[in-house]
Amino acid sequence: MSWWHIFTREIKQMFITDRRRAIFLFGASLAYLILFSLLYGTHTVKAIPLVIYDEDQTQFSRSLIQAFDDSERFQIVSYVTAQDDMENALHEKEAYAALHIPQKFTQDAKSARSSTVLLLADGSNIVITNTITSSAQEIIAAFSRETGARLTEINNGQLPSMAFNKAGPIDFRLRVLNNPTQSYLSFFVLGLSMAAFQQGIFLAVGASIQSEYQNPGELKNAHPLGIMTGKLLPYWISASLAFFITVITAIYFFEIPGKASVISLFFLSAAFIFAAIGFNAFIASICNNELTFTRISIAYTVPAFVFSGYTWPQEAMDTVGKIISYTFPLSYFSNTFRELMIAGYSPVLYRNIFILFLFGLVFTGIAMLCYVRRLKQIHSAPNC
Amino acid sequence: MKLKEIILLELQVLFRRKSPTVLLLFGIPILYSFLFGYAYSSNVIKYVPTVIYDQDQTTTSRALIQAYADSERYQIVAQVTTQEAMEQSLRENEALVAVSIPPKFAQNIKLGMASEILLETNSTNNMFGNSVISSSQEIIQTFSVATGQKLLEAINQMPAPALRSAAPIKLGVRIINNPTTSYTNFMLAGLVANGLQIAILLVAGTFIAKEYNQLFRWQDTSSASIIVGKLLPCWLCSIGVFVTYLGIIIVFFDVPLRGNPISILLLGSAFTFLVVNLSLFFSAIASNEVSALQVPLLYIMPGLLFSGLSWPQLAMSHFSQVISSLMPLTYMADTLRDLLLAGYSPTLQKNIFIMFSSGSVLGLITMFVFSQRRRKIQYQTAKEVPV
Repeated sequence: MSWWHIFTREIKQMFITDRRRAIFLFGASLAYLILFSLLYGTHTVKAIPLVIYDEDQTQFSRSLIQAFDDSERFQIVSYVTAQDDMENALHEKEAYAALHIPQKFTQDAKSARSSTVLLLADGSNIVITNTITSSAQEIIAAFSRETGARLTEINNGQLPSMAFNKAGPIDFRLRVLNNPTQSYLSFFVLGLSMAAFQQGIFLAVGASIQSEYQNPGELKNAHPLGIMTGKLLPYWISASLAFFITVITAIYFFEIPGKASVISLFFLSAAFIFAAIGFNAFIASICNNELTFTRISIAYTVPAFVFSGYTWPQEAMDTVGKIISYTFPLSYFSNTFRELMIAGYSPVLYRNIFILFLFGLVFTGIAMLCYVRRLKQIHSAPNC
Repeated sequence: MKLKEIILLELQVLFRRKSPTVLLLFGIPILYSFLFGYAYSSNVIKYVPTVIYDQDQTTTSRALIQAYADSERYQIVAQVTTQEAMEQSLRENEALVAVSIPPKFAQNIKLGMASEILLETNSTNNMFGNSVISSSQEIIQTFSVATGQKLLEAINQMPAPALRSAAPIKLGVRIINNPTTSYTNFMLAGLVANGLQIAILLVAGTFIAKEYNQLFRWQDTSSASIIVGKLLPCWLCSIGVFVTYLGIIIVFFDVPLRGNPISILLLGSAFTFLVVNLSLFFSAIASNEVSALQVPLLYIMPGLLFSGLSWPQLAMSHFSQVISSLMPLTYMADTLRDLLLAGYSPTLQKNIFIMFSSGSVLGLITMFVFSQRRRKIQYQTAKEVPV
């Protein structure tokens, strides 16, 4: 059989005989994209339930409460009158944050004795905790500065604008590049979709490789290189197609920023798909049956995603973590892909394309050796 | 066959000498515990690479830079002298934060005209963005208050009142349950619970699917005994795995255990009961063993991310909340974390009840599906064999 015959036979298998493969290849990344775009459609955490314990009950304390109420980050769910009630509300998860304004809050603040408000935050989910602490800091800082300015006006006889500058002499402007609203949608969804994409490639290619073990006679006289090209090339082409369909859907339907140039995306995805197919052909060729292969590939998904540095960054992992992370092809792909999409540029693009290409070359080579040997073994076995 | 015999038979399958499946059941969660434990061992993001662009070059500006250098969140990697160089290092990812101090920074402050600094951060990964935003606010506010105090002293205030005028309201933040916002405490228990769920799916997923080809083995056995006989050994082993992995993350990765061990064990049993039943259900409806594993594939990552473990329920749309309510981990992950970190969870009893009852319902459905399919296959074989 020439490689072209194997190629057409493979395409037929993928789309007609064993349609599962096409569904995995094209469906997995799209399904994840849609599912998680719906999940992260709210972009950021808003309206965190807040409970207020105001011991002061003055106009001044109420204006502080108003500042919290005006913020879209918080939603005041109740006002309590005792410390116990406040702690209980946190305990029972009726609220995730509590603001405690002490007695004589106004008096202390206005007579320049300074006063402390206490913010209690539940720390178990740090997505919520981060939002609480940073937005509360902002609100209190603005409030404090305004009060300080007024104090300076009164106590030191300064003009309002001067007093304002003296009370808070340094202001900082924060410019968050690439993902200014810290949206979870832009941050997370692409990587999840790519993790599924990799899984889709795995199951499709695995099914293809394993299917030859059942009826190995057909490839008896084919050249090893021909077998590999004929079997893997259709998946490479289809996966590239699936990748671009996913990217287009992400940009046009879910408004995920797409600043990347088509050429850079093409080369990056081509190298990644090559690496993933090669790696996977290798694993599939050494597995005894499709059941074992499916088990391995499912157990592999979550660690590959976590270690790719997509959420918890590689820089923050210790040496062991970093070394493990370097062995997953996804690590060289998903971060660079996100940088390309969100920032339009990645400093490690060429390096990663090169590494992925090497990965692909090495694993396809090993896979070829294992596979052909295995096929021969099955041929020479008496019953086949 | 009697129930006892089936249980013994299934135990033999789990522990058979050649490739024992129980290794898979124990192996995946234990492997995940160590892998993710190591990945998150630094707990918080520190030493974010920072580049400084100081156009002022005065004592005041250097004091501000010192404040950044002193914070363990930042590590100054370069001082640049042009805007282009600053942007270049952000672009090349040499730095993820840039602090730009304008010319006449000190002069403007001392003239009472206020000054502002610019902070740029690359937030392609939100983790860095979050860390930078909150710690910068802290650093700059402290610095601003100290400077404000000096300015007020200059207009004849005593130091202490000057400080209190500059910062009349202070914010005390008390983060309960996980005070350092450690990532290990936040994620590890739930992430490994997902590993346990995957392991159960991979092992129990084949249990019923494989029986459709060998129904002759079960001629005199009721469907109920078959299902229960397959459920019990796997469920008991899964509880064992649950206890083992909790032990690992508590001993090796210092995840606190503040809750009552018995309620944690109950929660774990309810969760594993539900997941084993779910796997058996998938197994009963699948056409063969491989597809029994592939059916729940779509569910691995969503199971984790829709569970409210990282992205909270309160930020989900109604539609997402509906999906979330279908995931077993939703009833487990958050509650387990609350029990470990806070020692108490308001939803404990409700969730245990939900998991046990939906597990039982699933078990009944599985029995029904299995006995229907079994009858159909037996009917077909009976037709094929001429009397």
